[in-house]
Amino acid sequence: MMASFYKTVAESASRKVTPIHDAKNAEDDIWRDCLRQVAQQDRAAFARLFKHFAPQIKAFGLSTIIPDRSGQFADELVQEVMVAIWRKATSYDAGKSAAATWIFTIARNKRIDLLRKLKRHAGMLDIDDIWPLEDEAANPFQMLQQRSTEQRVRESLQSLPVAQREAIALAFIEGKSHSEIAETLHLPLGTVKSRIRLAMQRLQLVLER
Amino acid sequence: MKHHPEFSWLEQYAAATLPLPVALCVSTHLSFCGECRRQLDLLQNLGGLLFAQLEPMPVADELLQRILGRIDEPRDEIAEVVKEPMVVAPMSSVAPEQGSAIENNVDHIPQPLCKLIGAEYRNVKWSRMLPSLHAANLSVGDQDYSVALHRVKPGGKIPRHDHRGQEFTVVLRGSFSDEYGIYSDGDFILREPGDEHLPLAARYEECICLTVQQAPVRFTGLFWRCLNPLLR
Repeated sequence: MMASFYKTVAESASRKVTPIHDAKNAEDDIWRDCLRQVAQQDRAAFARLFKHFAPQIKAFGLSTIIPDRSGQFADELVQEVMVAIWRKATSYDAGKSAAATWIFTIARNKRIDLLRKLKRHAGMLDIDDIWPLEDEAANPFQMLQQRSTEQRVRESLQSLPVAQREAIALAFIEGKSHSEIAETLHLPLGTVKSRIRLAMQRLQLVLER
Repeated sequence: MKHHPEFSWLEQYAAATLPLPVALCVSTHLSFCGECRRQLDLLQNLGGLLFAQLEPMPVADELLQRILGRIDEPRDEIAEVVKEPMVVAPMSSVAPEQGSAIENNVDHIPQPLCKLIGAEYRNVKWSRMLPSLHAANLSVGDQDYSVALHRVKPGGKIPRHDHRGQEFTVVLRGSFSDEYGIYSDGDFILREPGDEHLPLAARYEECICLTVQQAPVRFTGLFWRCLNPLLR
């Protein structure tokens, strides 16, 4: 009963989505498939993934403020993230998140790992214990929601005021805390907090409770 | 569950910009709360999009060769393989059914705390602080915060105290109440500096909580460290 409900929803939604299925969504599908192949230990797929995502991971690494400015950090991050992708690809759930989102979470975790090593802060805890990469599997309904969310957020990101986009990028890409963002932008902490909050509301990322 | 972290904490958790002990509290709450996990998923989508839109930076081909060399090596991190059985279903939202003791995790310790606590609360090194209160410090290697488990006997009271820094509490088992509300499994409570309260455990069962306190600089003396993180 539930399954057939999901199927009907899936069919009607895919009919609706197909015409506006933009190039970006199609591109996302390519990388979702590519990760599935990597999970089958496909090296050619892994090389394709590297070609596309290593430059993104490197950019992510280069945006990090690090105590040690030897320049090796970003390359090391690329290595760590790519190796983790190879090892964890079987746990990637294409219905749950886009390839870029999954890789972002790995890069985010590995960056903290590397920063902690630089500061010699190794502790009992693995970063992946605190920021687990796996979650329960998505059901078909959630998978659909996921696709439309991706498209909606991508579209509304285009029209986000520059100042708001800058603030969320400082947090998510450069990994800056709210007070570090306030320092960078020479703004009071309260302004930064409300700016980020406004951006999130505008992107419709705040769930109603 | 009624008490969730405010949006801002989830946003900072998703960007991974929180101090580790605070992230540990958010993560522990997430392991109980499907609603907040949905919120987190949304935020991680945003992270993925911003990541995908970064200006790509050139990477040497030689790096791919090095990576391929590394994935051919036998796994150096045996720990990664071994740790799996310790973990209950990752980020499991379902409250464990009675009697369905999962092997190696009798007490259903939330996944983020497994390594720190082990399989059972009774194996933790508890020290008695007050007749109704036991505590155990957890070491996460962050000097700005103290991280501890607190265990209060059924009906037990904690003396009225105020907070000089922020205090995060996540209820792991049982329930307690204070002037502001009643809290049970998975609830996330934040007390700001100056907040004063008198927590009281429920009468019918003991209450176990994870507590993270910002350690105020002026209380690092030996005397205070002994009382840490309890009697501020």
